[in-house]
Amino acid sequence: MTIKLGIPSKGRLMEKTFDWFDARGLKLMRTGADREYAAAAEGFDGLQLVLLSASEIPRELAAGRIHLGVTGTDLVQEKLPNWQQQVDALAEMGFGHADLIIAVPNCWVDVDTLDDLDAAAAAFRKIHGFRLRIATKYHRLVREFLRNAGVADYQIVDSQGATEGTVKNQTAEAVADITSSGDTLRANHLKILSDGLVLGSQATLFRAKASPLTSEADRILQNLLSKLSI
Amino acid sequence: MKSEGPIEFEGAQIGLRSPDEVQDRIRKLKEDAAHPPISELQVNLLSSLLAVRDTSVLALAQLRDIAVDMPEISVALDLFETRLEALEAKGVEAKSLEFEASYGRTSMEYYDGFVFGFHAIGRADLPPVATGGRYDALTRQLGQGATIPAVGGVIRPDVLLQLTGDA
Repeated sequence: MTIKLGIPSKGRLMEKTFDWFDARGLKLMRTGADREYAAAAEGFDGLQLVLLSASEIPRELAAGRIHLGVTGTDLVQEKLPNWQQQVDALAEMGFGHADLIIAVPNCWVDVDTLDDLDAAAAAFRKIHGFRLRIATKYHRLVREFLRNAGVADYQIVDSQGATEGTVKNQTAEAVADITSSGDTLRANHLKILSDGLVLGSQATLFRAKASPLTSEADRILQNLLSKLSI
Repeated sequence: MKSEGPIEFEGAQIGLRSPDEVQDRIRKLKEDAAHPPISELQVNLLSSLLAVRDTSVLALAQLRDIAVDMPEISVALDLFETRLEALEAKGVEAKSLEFEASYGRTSMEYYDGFVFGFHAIGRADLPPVATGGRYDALTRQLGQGATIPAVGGVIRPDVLLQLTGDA
């Protein structure tokens, strides 16, 4: 039995993940040909690396097919219902920072807070005959956030990309999307609500709760966590 | 909304919500700001009204106390008392049922009158087995002025099955 660790398969997230483990004395590296999705941990027996798309790692953790996984808090909280019951967040890794925020057009000079959004949404529904549309791919997170903030009279419209363009194209009145610098929002004439931070996300090491371990596998896991000082 | 900041907007106008709608809300906000705030006494009365949470018979007594300073709730309290008596007449121990003045305020979207929920004793981890109540405003809205009294509820079969052990 081995412990399976899910690692983002591409780009900066993968490089930063390797760096993070490297800094804690565990050398991870890709193996095989350049384009082959294979990797290994040097000098640590019983740990198997699985390269996966970051967006699939929450699902694989929940299903217990991997024991540990590195992915964004935003993806875990969006994709897993009652995520705290399915995974433990073991360590925030200090990279991959991104904020999920609610943004509205700059020209809405009367709207600065979620309370304003609620009032604008109620008036919008009366005038236009349908609920104010918020474009996002983060349905669950945005719904929970707006319910807790008491915002009603809105509807979510799905947008898997180029979300900031939906307002100008009149397929939505507001957006909820990930931003790091805010440049794309500004370029599309949008502003972030002053209390519109839904979630501050970063890359995090998660442990699956669903996956029962043999005593040998548990020993490997404990060794690994102590090596990583978790 | 901040009190400073531009009221006229020079940048790009985008989206379906028109400048007129924005100006209309600003006008309403200004009217609102010109109104004096409700008195501290009224705020305290509303807070104590919403905080009432006890067995029905004790809750009713507390609400009657509040009604001394807030006579507009007396009609609703008479109805509440009549409802409890009717339940008692049907053999329900209504006086010992728990009552919460703010029950369902944030969770029961279109219900607007008397609402109720059935909770399994000792199973705080489960959602209510059943919820329901009055929704007269909904029929008024859908009826475009015409109105009929409306009452209804929902029973959650998944919760019921978990409790009866047949799941």
